Amino acid sequence: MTPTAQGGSVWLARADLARLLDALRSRGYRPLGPRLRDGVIVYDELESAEQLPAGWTDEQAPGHYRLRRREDDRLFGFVVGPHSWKRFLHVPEVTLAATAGGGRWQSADSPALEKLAFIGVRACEMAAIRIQDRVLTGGPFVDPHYRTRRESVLFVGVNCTEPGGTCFCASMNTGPRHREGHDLVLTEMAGGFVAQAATPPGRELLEQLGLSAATSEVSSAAGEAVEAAAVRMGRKLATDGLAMLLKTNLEHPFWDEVAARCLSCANCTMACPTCFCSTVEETSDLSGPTASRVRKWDSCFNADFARVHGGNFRPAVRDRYRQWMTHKLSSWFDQFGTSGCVGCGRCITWCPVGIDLTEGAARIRQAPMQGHEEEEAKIRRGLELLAPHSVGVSTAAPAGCLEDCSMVPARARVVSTGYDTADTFTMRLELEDQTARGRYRFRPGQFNMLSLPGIGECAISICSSPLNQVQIGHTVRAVGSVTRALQALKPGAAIGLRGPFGSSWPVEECEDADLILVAGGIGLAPLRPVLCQVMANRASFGHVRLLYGARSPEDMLYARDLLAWSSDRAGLEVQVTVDTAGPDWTGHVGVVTTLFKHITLQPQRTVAMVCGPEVMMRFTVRELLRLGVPPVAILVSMERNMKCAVGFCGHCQYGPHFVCKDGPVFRYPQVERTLWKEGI
Amino acid sequence: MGSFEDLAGLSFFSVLTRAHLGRLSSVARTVAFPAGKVIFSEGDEARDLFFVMEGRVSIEIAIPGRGPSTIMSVKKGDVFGWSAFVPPHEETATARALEPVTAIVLDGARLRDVCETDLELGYRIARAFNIVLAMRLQAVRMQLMDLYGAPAEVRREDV
Repeated sequence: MTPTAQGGSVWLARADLARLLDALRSRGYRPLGPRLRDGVIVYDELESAEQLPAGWTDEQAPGHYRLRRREDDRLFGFVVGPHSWKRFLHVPEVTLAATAGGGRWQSADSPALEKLAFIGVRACEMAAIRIQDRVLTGGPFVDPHYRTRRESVLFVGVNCTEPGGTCFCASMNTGPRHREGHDLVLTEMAGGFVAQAATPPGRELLEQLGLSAATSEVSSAAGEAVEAAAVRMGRKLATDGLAMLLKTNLEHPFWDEVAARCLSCANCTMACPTCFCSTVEETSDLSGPTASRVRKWDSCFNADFARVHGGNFRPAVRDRYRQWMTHKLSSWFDQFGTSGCVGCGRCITWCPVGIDLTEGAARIRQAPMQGHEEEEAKIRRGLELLAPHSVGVSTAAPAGCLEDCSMVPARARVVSTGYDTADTFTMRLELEDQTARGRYRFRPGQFNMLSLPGIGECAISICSSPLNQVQIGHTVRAVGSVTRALQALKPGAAIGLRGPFGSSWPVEECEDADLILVAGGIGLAPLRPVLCQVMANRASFGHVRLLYGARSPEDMLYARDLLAWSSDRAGLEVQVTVDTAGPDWTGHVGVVTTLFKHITLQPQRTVAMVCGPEVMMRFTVRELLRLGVPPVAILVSMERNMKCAVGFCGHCQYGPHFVCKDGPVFRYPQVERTLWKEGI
Repeated sequence: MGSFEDLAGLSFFSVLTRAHLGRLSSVARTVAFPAGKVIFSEGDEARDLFFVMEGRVSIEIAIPGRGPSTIMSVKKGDVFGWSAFVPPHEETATARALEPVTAIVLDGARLRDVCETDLELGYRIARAFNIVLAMRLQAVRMQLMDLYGAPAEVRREDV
C-alpha cells in the first residue's frame, strides 16, 4: 500500500510541486494560486510553479502591508493579500439574466465552467468559503452561480506556520491548521512539504505523484510548526459572549469614536472573505430590445446601501460601521449559525486608517454600556416569548414560489390598472405561463418583485385576495423611476415578476380570535388580503376591527372597499382617520393612534396586525401593549431596501433579520430591541 | 346644572374625588349644537371648556385662500376649548359640530376660581390637562412628520 492510501503524510519535495500542478491540469483542473502583482500577493492563474512568490513575505499591521524579502525561498512564507478566493466563487460581477427581446427574461447561460484548483488556501480562507456556502447555498434559496463554481473546485490547502501581524484565526477557531473542507493540505518545510490528503480526489492526486511517506521527524516538526503558529497570532479576539455583548451595546460611544475615523470606503468589505453583499444593475443597449441584469459586489458602507424611497435607514457612518461589525460578529450567528469573521485580519490591514475590529470589540467588552445586562435580559425574554412560534433561521424551501425566481423574472401581463389616489395605482397581473400560474401561491402579507427590462425592479406587496391566485393585485405608489414606469403600463403590457417572497400574516392561527388591523397610508395594501380572507370566512373569526389612518381623505386607498367593509352587513368595525382634512370631511381627524383612545378589546384573544410607516408602528405597538395585547400576538410588517428578495444581497438587513426572507411580517418580540433605535 | 353622573363618567375627571366632582358640577351645564354649528371661532374670547358627550366636533384653522383645514376631530369623552383654562383665554382654533353634538360645558372663569380656592382640586385638574395636552402634542408631532409620504423632492431620485 502507498503511504497516502494508508492515510499518512507524504513528502512532496519542492521540485514535485510542478508535477502536482501538471497532475491537476491532466485531471482537467485550472490551477489558481498566489502570485506577485502590483506590489501585493494576489490570487490568479498559475501557469507554472515558478510564479509562486518564492522568498517573499508580507509585513502586515493596521493600515499597513508591505512585501519583504525573506531570508529563505519559501513559497508560502507570506500570510494573505487583499484578494480572497471569493472572487472566483462569489464573483465580483455576474450576469444573472438577459432578455433576448420582447421582455422575456432568460437565465444567463453560464459558460461550461472548467474545474478550478485553488492552490495555497489558508485554513481561515477555507473556513470563509464554508461560511459563504451557508449564506449562498444554505437555503431557503440557493445561488446557482455560486453553487456551480463551488462544486468545480479542488482545494489544496496550506497550513500556516508564520501568522501575520493582523491574524487572529486562533481566536476564531478557524486556523492555523486545516480541519475541514480541503482536499489535500500542505505544510511547508525547508525543501518541500508534508502533504496529507483529506478526500478521495486529494488522495488520487497524491497517489498519482508516487510520493514516499514523510519521515516521522519531518511530520512532527511540521505539526509543531503549526502548533507554534497558533500562539504567535498578531491579534486576539475574545469571542466568549461577544455576539450578545454587541447586541446590548448598540448605543455604545465606541460607534461614534470609530465613525470619526472610518472613511466608509468599503475596503474592509471588499477584502473580507465572507462579506457577500451585492447589488443588481440593469443595463440595456441603446437600440432597446435587449437588457441584462448584472450582479456586482456591494458594501454596507456605501451611502445608498440601505436607501429606500423617501429615506435612508443608515444615513450616518456610525450606522454603517455598526451594521458591519455587529453583522459580522453577532447577527451572523442568528442568520447562519456561525460567526461571519474568520480572523484573517484583512479588514485591519486594508483599512486606510487602520481600524481594528479586535480593538473595537475589546473596547466594548472592557467598558460596556450602562444597562447592558438589563438589555440582555430583555433580549432573552423576547427569545423565550418567541420560542413556541418557531421563528428564526428559515431554510425551508418556500412553497408557492416560482421556479428560478431567485434570479430570473417570469413574464406576466397587466390585466387592469387603476388609480386609488393621485400618485397611487393598483395593477392586476396574470402570469403568462400556465405552469407558472399553477405553481404560484401567495399568502397574505407576502410581496412580489416587479420589473421592467432595462429600467429595474422593485418590491411590491400583494394587495389582492388570496382566494384568487391568478390575478394578482399590487398597489404601487409612483415615487421613482421603476414605479413611474409601472404607472405608465396599459392593460396587456408585459412585466417581469419574481415571487412570492417573505413571511405572511398568520391568518390561519387567528381563527376564533379577535383581530385588530392597524394600517397607515399605503400600509393598508398588505393588509387587504387579510380582510379579503376574513370576509370570505367571516364566521371563523371573532371581532374584527380595522383602524386606518391616511394623510388626507384624498390619500385614502380602496375607498370602495372601505365603504363595503364599513357596512353593517360586513360585520367589521372600521375606523378611519386622516391627519388633515378640508371642510367636506366629516370623519375623524387625527393620527391613527388617537383612535385607540376609544377602544376596548379583550387582549388575551386579540391578534394585532400593523403595517405603516415605522414611527406609526412604534406608537401603535405602544398602544396595543398598553391595552394588554400579548407581545407575540402583535405583528408588524417592516420595510427595508429589498433588492434580491432571496437573502443574498444583504440590503434589507434589519438587526439579525433579513426583511425579505425572515420578514416582512415579524412578531413584535423579534424587532422589539431595534424598533426604537435609529440607523438600524 | 351639569349632571354629576355625566362628569363622573369622563375619564378626564377620574382623578377627582366625589366631593370635587360635586363642586365642579356647580359650574357645569349641558348644551347641544346642531350639525354644522360653529361652537367658537379662532380669536374669540375663550369662555368655556367643553367635554363631548355625543357627536363629533372638528377643530379647524383657517388658511387664507384655502379655507378651513381640520387639524383634529374630537368625540365622546374628549375635551376641547382648553384655552378657557390657559391664558390668554383666546381661542386658537375654530370648533364646529360635524354632527348633532351634546357637550358638558364648564364655565372657564368659574372653574379657575374653584381651582384657585381649592388648590388640591386645582392641582388634579391641571394634571388631567397635562395628560391631554401631552397626547395632543405627541399627535401633532406625528402629524408634523407627515409619515405617509416622503416630500416630493426626496422621492424624485428614488426607485
